[in-house]
Order: sequence, then structure tokens, then C-alpha cells
Amino acid sequence: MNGTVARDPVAQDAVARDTVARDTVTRRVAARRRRRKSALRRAAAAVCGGGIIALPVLTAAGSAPYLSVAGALLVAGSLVSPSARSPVTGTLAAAWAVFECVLGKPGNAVLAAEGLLLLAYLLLLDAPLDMAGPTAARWLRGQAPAAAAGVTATAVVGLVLLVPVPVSAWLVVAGVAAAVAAVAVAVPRLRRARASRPARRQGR
Amino acid sequence: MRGTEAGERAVTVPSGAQPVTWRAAPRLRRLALVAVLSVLAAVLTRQAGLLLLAAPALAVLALGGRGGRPGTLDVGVTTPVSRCFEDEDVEVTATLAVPVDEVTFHVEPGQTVRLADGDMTQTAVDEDAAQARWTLRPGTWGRRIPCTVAVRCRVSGLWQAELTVRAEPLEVFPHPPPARASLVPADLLRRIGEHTARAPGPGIEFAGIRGYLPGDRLRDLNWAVTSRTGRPHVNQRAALRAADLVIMVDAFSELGPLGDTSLDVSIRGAAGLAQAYLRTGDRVGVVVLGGVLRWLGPAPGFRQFFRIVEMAFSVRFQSAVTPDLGRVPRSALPPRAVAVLFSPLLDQRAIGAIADLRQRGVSLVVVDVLRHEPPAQPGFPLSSLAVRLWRLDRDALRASLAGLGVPVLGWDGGTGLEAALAPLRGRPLAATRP
Repeated sequence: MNGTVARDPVAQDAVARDTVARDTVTRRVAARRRRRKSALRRAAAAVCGGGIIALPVLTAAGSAPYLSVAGALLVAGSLVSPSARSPVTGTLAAAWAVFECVLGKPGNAVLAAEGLLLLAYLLLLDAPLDMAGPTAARWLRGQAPAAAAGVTATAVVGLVLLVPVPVSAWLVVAGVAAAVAAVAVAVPRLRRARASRPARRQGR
Repeated sequence: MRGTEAGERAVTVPSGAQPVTWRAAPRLRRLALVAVLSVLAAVLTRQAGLLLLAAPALAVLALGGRGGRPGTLDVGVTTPVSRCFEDEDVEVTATLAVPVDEVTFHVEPGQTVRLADGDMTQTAVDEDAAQARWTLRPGTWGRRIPCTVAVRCRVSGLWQAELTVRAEPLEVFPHPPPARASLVPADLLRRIGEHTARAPGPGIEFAGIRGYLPGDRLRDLNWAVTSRTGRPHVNQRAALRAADLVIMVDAFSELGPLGDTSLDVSIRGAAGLAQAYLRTGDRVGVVVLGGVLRWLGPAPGFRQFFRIVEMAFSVRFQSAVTPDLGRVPRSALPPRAVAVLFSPLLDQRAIGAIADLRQRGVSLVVVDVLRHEPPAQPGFPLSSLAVRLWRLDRDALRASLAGLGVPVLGWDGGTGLEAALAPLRGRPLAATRP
């Protein structure tokens, strides 16, 4: 099939079939490997999902075990099959884990671990199932900045929580000022973007 | 594809750069929900420790906002060929020219097109020019779009854009069944290769000996007879002629499942017959009955084969017009041509056209391509009687056509045409008016 149709269609068809058949076996083997890797990723997500549900129950005395059963069902539902990987099930499982933490009142170390597990679960839940080996490695590398940011943020918040802070009106004022400053930094950017749109159109 | 998660209706666009709108990906929504829930819970329950749940999610959200999102996506869905035959494998390649973090291609084969090889959904991560390949196998002839490819791009995992791109139309030619040029006009003798005419003329085959006439070539002198009789004699040769075959296709009615209708069988048979005759150097033309009357004058060569099958692409045209065969020019339907009509013999206009052609003295053969009888309803005893009457009616029709000098042969498309045309091999076809 080099852009033209051969004179004898039957002979041409036979040649085309031979050519394709040669690659078929290789591609099937690759597809089998991809399926195996996809099962591995799903297992990793299941471990993280199980962790976010089990950790608050195992470490906190106030939580009820039946909550973990419902959470485990939600995690399983989000991982059973590609068609079942709807955004709703995974989101509900994550929200359930937060709910368990609120009820269980675990310690800060457990909450830090829970937050990181939650992040890992949500990242893995979003992984494409049909990636080949090198693609999966690249995808994992791509998640490294997010994981690093998560760990850093957890460490910073953990350290801040360790510092004893007295009740003070000045701190409240400082907090409000920081929030206003954050909004002030963000909003002019939006205005500039909006203002630049008609100019661009006129330029065209 | 999970692209429908966004709840937006997919609009198919041709290949090329397309402007896109970036929307929040499911990951962004999940992270935002976890962060909001955790912060709310921390504020309401006065547990500052719950901020530790929100911290990683907020950090990832803050990080993802920096990702550059291209305003247009240049997606191409290409095939290396623009033509192929039925059941022939065609490789389709989808390419995204813009670098994005993650791109997922999902192929949706067109009608009667099967995915022969390759995963339906393929993902590329962090590539400058992401590609996905599939092998498709079109099952039915026609000019059709082989597939559409849904492309989902993600930046930072938090923003996504979706695009559905259709491939360029592919001309799928009917797979010609094996056939031989066994039907020959009555005025031609059958030989290997070209046809030898009964009339003398320039050729190779020996036709006789006659006395020398002024203008005869010296190399044609038969020296043995000349020396025996004492008067010059020359050898006569039979003229070489090519047969004219006009294939007619009845496109008035179409019955059967998609890809295996009576019209599909007709077109495949026409392609097989055209190929067989063109191989032996004959001239082949085509006349399509149905809708607008279309024709192609007989011509030799393999180019004519492709002209014929390309013409067949437009035969599916619903119309109530009765064809006026008087409009077909003499060059498209030569007087001594053999005409082969592929028809399910269901439409009265086609049957009328057969009678009209015989009145004009055309040597006509009808190939009945109807494969399915009307099913009898088990609960109604009269329905089986109706089917029997229908069969008798068909037999009567065949007999009346045979009375006109039009042989009717049956062919179901499952075997080669050679077996179907075997009853007429060596038999002269009626070439005079009834």
C-alpha cells in the first residue's frame, strides 16, 4: 500500500495480510505486558485507597469500624474496572476518608500520613490504564513534582502546628492582611488579562 | 472515552490546528474538594491538625496553576492510502504536534469498519509529537470515513482539553470475486487471450486460403498451394476483436443486512466481472439503473476498473424516477455488446428495463442477487403459503424473462462468479430482437 492500488487486488491483499501478520504477535505481547502493568498500578492505588480508609480507624479510638467498610466499598468501586472509574466514586472515597478523620480525631502524624496517602490515591486514580512500560515510567516521573510539593507543604504545615501560638488579635489581623494581599496579587492579573483581550482583537 | 465526563457534546472536526477550551480535569475537582472539606472541617471543629489533610492538595493545586496551556491543538489523523479494498488492513495514525504533558487517543471505528490491531485507547506522556497507531479493516465498499479519534490532552494533570477529529474519507473498493470472461458475443469465437472474429482481417489465427488480389502482402503467399495450382494464393487470417461488456447494476432496491445487501453483492459481482474481462483486453462499461441514470462507455485497461468502482460509490441514491434507457448513448451501450444485469429482480422498473433492452436487441444476461427469501411467520399458516406463492411468482418471472431470450442466473456472492456463469459457457447469447 504505497499510495496506489496494485493491479491485482487479490495478490495485493495477500501481501498486505502477510505484512500485518508479522507485527501482530509482537503487538499482542506488548498489549499483554501493558495489561499486567495496568494491574500493578491498580494494585498500588488499591493499597493507597485501603490506607486512607484504614489508617484513621486503626489509629484513632473514636471511629467506628463500619465506617471503614463503607469507605472500602467506595475505594473498591473506584478501582474495579475502567468503566467504573467514574470521578464520583473516587471523590466520594476521598471525602469519606476526610469524614473518618474528622470523627476519629487522630494525631497530627497520622493526619500528615493520611494527607499524603490521599494525594497518592488521587494521583494514581487518575493514571491512564493503557500505558506501556516507558510511558508509565514517564508518567510516574511527571507526578514527582506534585508529590514533592505535597510532602513539602505537609512538612511546613506540620512544623507550623508544632509551634505553640498564643491567642492574639494581632495574629488575626495579620492573617486577614495576608488574605487581602493574596487577593490583591491575584485580581490585578485577571483585570490585565481582561483588558488585554480587546486590544489583541483590535491588533488583529 | 472518559472525555464525555465533561458532559459536553463532541463535535467532530477535520485534521489541523483547532482552538480549544481548557477545563478543570477530574483530578483538580477532587483535590479542590478534599482541600475545601478539610479546611472547613478544621475551622468548624477547631482542629488545626486537619489542615494537614488539605496541605498536599492545596500545594498540588498551586503548582498546577503554572502550567502553560496552548490555545490551539494541532491534531492530524492520517492514513497512508486513500484507497483500499474490502477487508484490507489500513493503518491509521493520529498525531498531536503540540507538546502537552499527557495525551490520550481513543479511536472509534466507522460503520462496518473493524479494529484489526492496536488498543482502542492509547496514551502518550511528555512527548513532543505524540502518536497513536491502529490497524483498521473496512468491511464494506464505499466512500467512508474510517474512524474518528477523540483526543484528550492534559496539562499538569489538572487541566484538560478534548477534541474529536475525523480521518480523511477512504475509498473502499469492492473485493472482486474470482471470475472468468466466459460470456462472449455471438459473433466472436472464443480463443485464449483476445477474441478471434469470424470475419477475415489482420490477425494471427489462420482463417483460409484464397486467390491473390492486387494489394495483398507477398509474405501472405501460400507457396505450396501456389506451386501446386500454378496461380498465386494467399493465406487469410481472422481479425482480432475485443468483446464489449456492459455491466448493469440495479440500484432500485436494496435488501439484506448492512454490508451484505443485494446491492453490495451486485457491486462485488460487477467488480469481479469487470476485472476478468479487462484482464483479457476486452472493453467494459457500466450502466447504473436507479436514481439518476449513469453510465460509463466501454473502455479497455485497468484504469477502467477503478473508474467503474468509483462510479459505484454513488449508486445508493433513493429515487422514484423510472430510467429512460433511450438516454443512454450508443457509445455506452454498443449494439453488439453483452450486457450483464445484476439485480434482485424486485423492482418493476428494473424488470421493465430488461424488457426494453431485449426489444432493442441487446444480448442480456441477468444475475439474480437476491439471497434472502421473505421469512414465513410460524404463527400464521397462511404466511408459508404466501412464501410459496412468492416463489412461484419469482419462477414465473424467470420463465418469462427466459422466453424473451434473457437467461437468469443465480449468484449469492459466496462463491466465485465462474460457477454462476457456467451454464452459459459456450452457448451463443441471443443477439436479435425477440
